[in-house]
Amino acid sequence: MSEAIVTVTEQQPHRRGRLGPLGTMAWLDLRETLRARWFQLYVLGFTSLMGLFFVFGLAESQVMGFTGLGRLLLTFIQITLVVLPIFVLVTTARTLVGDREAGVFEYVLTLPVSLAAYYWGRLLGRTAAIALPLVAALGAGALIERLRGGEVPWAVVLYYSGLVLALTFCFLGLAMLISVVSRTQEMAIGLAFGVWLALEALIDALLIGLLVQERAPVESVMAAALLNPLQAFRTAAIALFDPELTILGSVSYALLDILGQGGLLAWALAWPTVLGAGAAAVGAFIFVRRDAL
Amino acid sequence: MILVQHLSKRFGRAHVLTGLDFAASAGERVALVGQNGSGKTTFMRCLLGLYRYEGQITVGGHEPRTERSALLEEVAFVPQLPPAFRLTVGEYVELIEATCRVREERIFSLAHELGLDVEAIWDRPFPALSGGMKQKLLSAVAIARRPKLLVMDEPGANLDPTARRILYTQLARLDDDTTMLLSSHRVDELAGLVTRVVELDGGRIVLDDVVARATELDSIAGSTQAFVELVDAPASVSSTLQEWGFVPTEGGWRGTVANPDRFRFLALMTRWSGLVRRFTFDDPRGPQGPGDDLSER
Repeated sequence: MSEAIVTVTEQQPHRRGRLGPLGTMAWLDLRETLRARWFQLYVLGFTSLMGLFFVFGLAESQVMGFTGLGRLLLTFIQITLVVLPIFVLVTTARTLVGDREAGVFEYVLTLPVSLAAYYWGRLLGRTAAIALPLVAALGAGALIERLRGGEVPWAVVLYYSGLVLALTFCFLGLAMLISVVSRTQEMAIGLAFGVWLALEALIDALLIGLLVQERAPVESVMAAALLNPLQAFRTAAIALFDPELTILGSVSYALLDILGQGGLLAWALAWPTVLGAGAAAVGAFIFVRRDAL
Repeated sequence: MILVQHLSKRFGRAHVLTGLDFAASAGERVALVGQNGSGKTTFMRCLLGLYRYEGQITVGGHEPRTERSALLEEVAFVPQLPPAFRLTVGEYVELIEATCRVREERIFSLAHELGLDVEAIWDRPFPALSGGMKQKLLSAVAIARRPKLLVMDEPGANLDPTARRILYTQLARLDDDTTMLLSSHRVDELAGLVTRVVELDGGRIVLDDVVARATELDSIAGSTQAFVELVDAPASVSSTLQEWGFVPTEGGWRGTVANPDRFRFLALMTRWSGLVRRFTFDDPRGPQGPGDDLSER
């Protein structure tokens, strides 16, 4: 190796990245996510699912009153309801605690980027990475149906896209909070799984069980149902098509009766978003105030 | 540039820094030395705003916790262990360009001096680089930023001797008003570069020695044979002597102390005065000279 010292030209002031610290962090997280194996499997899984629905003629089937693309979308959204929350929780709850364990914080957090920009940038990038493939799959389904000459319920497609975004943001917010408070990745995964299990448990069947077996007050059961984002999501998704008691379940039916269809649909969009934002804000509050390492 | 007053930091019940006072003016080049667990890294992390702390710290007039972004505009840091972030080399350089006032050409040039062709590894994942390559890239980035304060934790740890020498040359070329805080286990690594040696032990400063001329330490480069006879050898004492490279022999411990580290070693012996029965430095003026029994003077 030559030991000759290369003369370095005088440093010119460099123009800041156009994205700013927040955008830069979001862009970096997005690129990192796009490269991750879990993300590639996730995209492959959901696009394959949509493709399979068409291949097996789900759009032409008629079951329990749901027909055409509506049935296909409802099936897609029901699968999303099962897969998305646990997927988001497990993959995202590891991020910040994983960065801390891997020594990334020790370096990246000594760059002139505020802790808030780092935190919210990561959340923004991850939201885009998780939600966009789902919205794209919904859009692609609608487009294919349109090209085949079928009728596309655009309002439903739009509302489901909103639901997917709300649910994604909700669980990302919860996952970021878990990631901040966890000391190890193992602890984060355990907490994430616990949150998912609790929310899955508090849907219609268990709530009715509580009502009957424990004689819980109806108001508290309704409140629990309203505050469970999974319950709100599930009820709103079905209520668009056939708000019958046999399909919805008794608690969801009661919710629909209390709020009305418009109110329920608005609640299902607003509450998960607020819950996710609240959890993320609490996570940010803790993140910027405690030791980074 | 740096003003630290009554700095304390504890993790649970463990007190890592205890009422530490420190000041460094612009342009001072400080070697921060001490054994493992002496508090060097914690001290640096407090300066960088990574930890909450008790006491007062200002770096360039900024408080590390409440004015992080403004402070970190003027500070560059190279950790002892490179981060394991999941970026390519190109993305890492883009991150630096986007967040710091630095041009990639300057990073390329400095890395090239160290023997690293950044453009050739642009698309490689950062974790796939060797330890030495990562260290070269991180060092090049830190120097390219022309910081007012440069903090490096074990700067030469992963570098081969040639790259280490070039790195120290690059550091020496930095502006005269650049303050440096370089952590190391051994002062001899940094001889010729630093103007002051600060030793931490048990979370306190136990030695603060100003070197009048930058070449003063270098001019006495070399090493001295030493022998220590202990009254008793608790595990912590044995462990520390082993870290200094000493080995147990008949009647005591024998090892070699780099000449620039001799004052630190003497300070260590002073702190162990109750445990040391006798210690000697061989006369560096001649290989046949009798050992200087310092404990009897």
